[in-house]
Amino acid sequence: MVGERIIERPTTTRTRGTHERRGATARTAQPARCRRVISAQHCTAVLALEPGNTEALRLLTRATDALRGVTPEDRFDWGAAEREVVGIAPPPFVEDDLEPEERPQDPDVITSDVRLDDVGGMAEVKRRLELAFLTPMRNPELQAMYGRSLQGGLLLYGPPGCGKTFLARAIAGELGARFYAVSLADVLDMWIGASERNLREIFEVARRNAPCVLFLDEVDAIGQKRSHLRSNPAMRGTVNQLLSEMDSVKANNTGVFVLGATNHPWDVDSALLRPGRFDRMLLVTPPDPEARESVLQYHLKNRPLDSINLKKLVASTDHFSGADLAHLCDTAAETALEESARTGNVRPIGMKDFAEALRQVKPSTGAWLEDARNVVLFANSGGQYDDLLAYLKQRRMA
Amino acid sequence: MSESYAALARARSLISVKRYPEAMDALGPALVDGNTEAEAQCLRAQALIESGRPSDARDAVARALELDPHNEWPHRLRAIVLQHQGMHKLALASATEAVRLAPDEAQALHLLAVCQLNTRKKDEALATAASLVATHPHHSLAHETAGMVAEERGKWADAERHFREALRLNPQDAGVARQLARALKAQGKRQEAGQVLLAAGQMDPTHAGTRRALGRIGLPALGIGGFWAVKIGGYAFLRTLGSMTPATATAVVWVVFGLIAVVLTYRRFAGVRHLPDHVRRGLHGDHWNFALGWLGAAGVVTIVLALWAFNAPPSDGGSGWLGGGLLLLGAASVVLMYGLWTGPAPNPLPTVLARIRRQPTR
Repeated sequence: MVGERIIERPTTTRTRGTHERRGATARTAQPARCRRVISAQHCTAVLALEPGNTEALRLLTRATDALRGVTPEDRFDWGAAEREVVGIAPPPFVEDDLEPEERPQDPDVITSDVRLDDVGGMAEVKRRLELAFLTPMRNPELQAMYGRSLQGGLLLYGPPGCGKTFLARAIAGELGARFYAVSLADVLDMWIGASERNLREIFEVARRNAPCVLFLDEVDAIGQKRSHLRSNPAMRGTVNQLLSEMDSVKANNTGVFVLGATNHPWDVDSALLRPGRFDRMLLVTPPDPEARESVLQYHLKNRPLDSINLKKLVASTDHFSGADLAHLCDTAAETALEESARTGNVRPIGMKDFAEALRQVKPSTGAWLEDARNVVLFANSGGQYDDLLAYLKQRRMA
Repeated sequence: MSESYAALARARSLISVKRYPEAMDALGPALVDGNTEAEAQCLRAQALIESGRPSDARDAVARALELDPHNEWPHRLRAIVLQHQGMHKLALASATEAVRLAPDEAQALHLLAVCQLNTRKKDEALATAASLVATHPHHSLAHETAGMVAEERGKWADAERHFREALRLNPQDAGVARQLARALKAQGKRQEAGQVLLAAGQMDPTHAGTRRALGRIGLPALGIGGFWAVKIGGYAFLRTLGSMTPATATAVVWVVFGLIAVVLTYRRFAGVRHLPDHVRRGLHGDHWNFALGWLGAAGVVTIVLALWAFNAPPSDGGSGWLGGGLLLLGAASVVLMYGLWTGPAPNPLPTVLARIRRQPTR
């Protein structure tokens, strides 16, 4: 019973006095006990005014000891009384001493069962992720020894459709943490101040579910450069709230790992990229050949196929994002389906359909890479886009 | 507040954070409510224009005008759409109507001045800009407009003064910084122009125009005189072509193109020597691409001359061997250009086609 727990867990003299006072009021037939309670209260009041008063401390100790000596049959049965009124009056205090596993979970917070091994290819991204983020996070003792806090942020950036969200899930799975994905729609609200409140609540949920990976999708919208928001003071407030939540003196973010994903890291407010917030950035590049093969295999399973040369497809889909590859498979399937419907002969998807699909579907990463090329020229004085520069040089784009 | 007004507020927020498709989706409830439809159509048009699809905004603007013809905003949006489509006279009419409905609206006056410049009404644009500066002296857009008009009239010093004032009022405006750089370059202040372009690049790093302008900072401004000199040179070459053999013409082409490429590429390298190291190194690829562009152009002309060599009689210097050799040289130049190119592969065809297929200016 909740009420019993309150009575049985005296924590301070003051609380104890309060409980006993209730008991004294209930049981007026015990004058000696009442006197002890009253004297304990007086002593507490004197000690509050004069903490060094040894006489008051002595008297309080005596009164408390005497109160402890009250026999069980003299004690008022709070549990029985509470059972009598259960359903009429709600319990005044509820204490949560449940294990984190038993705690009622927020519906949006899920446990991720995706691992990095489930992410096809992307060996370089995984290696850098392991070195820069996962290894330190998996070794809290080492972090503590070196004076690093158990909180942090990582910003995943790269062309659209390259698996940033999937990677974030895998990171949560690797850390054994809960995964809480938040999108722009969860934050933005039409009322002034409501977006800020939403953000605060989102962080509260993440803190309540620690260890938790809080995934903020489209960070460039929630945390856009404040200089771009001169005409929208409401959004400036949201950015300020995000800054405050990520590195707040009021709240403890221990166990909350904030992962951000964006296609436009250059639009993110620079204050968000400073140490303590998103202090690490990781480029998620378009899938490499190995990843493309995995993605194609995934999208082609359960589809009727005829002599598909996967190696050839992989070679002809350079610069394709994961989403482009999915679209390519859909287009090829659509071509085969259309012909089957027209001729009345059902036929599987063949290389001919892929050749046709490749004529229609072009990689969507080109525009992003062109933007990125200009970004590494103008916005890389601090070296934050060095990995992007290296990637572009490798692709002969810079 | 009803669902439709909430949709409007949400779409406005999404537009401000550049989430145009989401903003258009959010407008759904507002578009079916008679009280909010006009504004929703305007917001839809704004989202379409800002996401680079001005032609698709035409229907939304027409509907907004039908619903609320006495509002300035749809007229202004219509002028923007028409201007994108090259219909400058119609755009001017819409911009004039917008100003008539809201004479103090800075954006409407700015648009009117731009439309006047596009229809070559420079004096009227000057009057509009003066009125804008008088009514909004602390608005950066007013000084930007005045600068644009001064630039169009060749008053570079005035343009510089106005752009500087606009930048003082709004220091994060990369567009104004680029215009200031242009005014500085036109006055021969290349080093300063380079620094301003660098600042513009830091404000808005994705803008391709900044990179292009910075790479060309060392190149001489072609101007009207230069334009005519190039035209007359080309004409003279074509006139004397009849008296040349294919081999001589090829030699002339390679010497002229080679000289131009060497001089201009050197000037490009020299023009950026005052910039920070990482920017200078980043632009090296662009300079080499520029030189490769001349090589490719020489190759294309050589292929044309090879066809001439195949068809010309031997008395005029034509021969199959020469034609084959020239064809090989031209093809090798083009292949070399594509092979050594860094950055997005050059695709001159769309640019050329766009220039040929001019939009009607009704």
